[in-house]
Amino acid sequence: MNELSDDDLQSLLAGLRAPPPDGGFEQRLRQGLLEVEREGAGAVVVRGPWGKRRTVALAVAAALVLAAAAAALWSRSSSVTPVLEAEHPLPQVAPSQTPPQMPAQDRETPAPIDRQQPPAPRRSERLEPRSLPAPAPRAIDPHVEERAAPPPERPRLDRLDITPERTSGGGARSTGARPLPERLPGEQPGSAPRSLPERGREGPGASTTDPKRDPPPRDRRHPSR
Amino acid sequence: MFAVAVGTTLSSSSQRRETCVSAPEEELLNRARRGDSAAFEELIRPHLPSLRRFVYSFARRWHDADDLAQEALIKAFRTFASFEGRSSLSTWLYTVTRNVCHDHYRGKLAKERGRESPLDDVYQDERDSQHTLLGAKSDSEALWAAVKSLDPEFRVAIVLFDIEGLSYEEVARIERVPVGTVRSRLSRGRAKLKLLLADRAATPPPSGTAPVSIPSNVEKPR
Repeated sequence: MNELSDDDLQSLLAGLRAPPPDGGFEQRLRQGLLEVEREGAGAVVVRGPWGKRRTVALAVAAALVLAAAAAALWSRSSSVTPVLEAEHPLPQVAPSQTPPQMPAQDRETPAPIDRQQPPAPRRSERLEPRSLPAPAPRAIDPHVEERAAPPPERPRLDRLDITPERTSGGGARSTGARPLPERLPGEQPGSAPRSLPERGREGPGASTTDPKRDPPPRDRRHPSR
Repeated sequence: MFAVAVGTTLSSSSQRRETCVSAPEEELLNRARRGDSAAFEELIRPHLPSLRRFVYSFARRWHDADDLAQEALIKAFRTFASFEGRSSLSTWLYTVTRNVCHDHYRGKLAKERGRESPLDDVYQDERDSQHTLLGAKSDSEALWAAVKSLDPEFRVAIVLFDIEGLSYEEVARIERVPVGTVRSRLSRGRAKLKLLLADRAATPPPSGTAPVSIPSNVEKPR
């Protein structure tokens, strides 16, 4: 294929840099510049495309836009308001009826803050609402072991699936003291009760007595021990 | 000191246009800003041939190009107070002229599109350029016709860089595009121009016309 190289093309294009034919261009340009000078070049304001349009057309367009916007707003408000009123009717207030006003003392002076509030209850105490009335005292028979039935006034315990602890007597639930563990059949009455691993850990001190769980600390100075 | 590039020298095609700063131009600039047409004419006189050639790439005939160039220069005179000297005067003049030419081109296109058969008329200029290219009586006419048949973006880059000798940066500033875009447009425009000239060289010219003379180092078609 016959193709010119870039150098050949550039040399050809550079040959076009010949002076253009003089057809009186400079004279006409001088006349045009003189006319503009007479008009006053500094007074000419360069306007954008919007400024070149007719003022009347601009005013009419602006009026049309404003009218359309107003009509759209009016139609929107008129179509929405009945629906809202039908769904949420406003309360009718008689003109003579005035809303109840609070006494001036209550409005202006806030209630004093009781800074000596009781401390926050513990977690165990929070389970029992304080507002519930205390159960009526019942006659306690010391020979009959009372089964602590879940009181009906404590629905939260039922919901949390907490079985009430079996108490050895008294009927009242002891929150702080641990009940004594039951004795197994082979235990001596004088010996200390063994911990029952199947019953699980019942307190923080239960694991300290188990030598398998917590072996005694070795003396590091005598590693043979 | 206010520096304006007015004088231009161009020794060869490989050397880009060099700008020099002359102190007396400051007085001319101030007078032209105040609306002195003689000072403005004195300032733009060295740039008139290149500006006319640049406009000619957008017009069919030299007469139309002169009208368009006059319109652009009068617009430049009206808005000369906005020239702050951040770029050279030639770059500013080329920018104003290029905008006027593009507006004229777009207005012409819009007029043509408003007619009933736009496809027949929109590309009338390009077809005219092709016919002129094929029937050109001289190399320069054929070359001008080939340049005019390019898209405006390629046309401006080739005219400003290859014909008028501006630098990449100046062309980029006039076209408001990155320098890489200018290089790309130049490359693509030259490729299209080569194809056009090769087609014309391969096509037998009409009677009374001469083909474009191809340099001797170029391989001729067999």
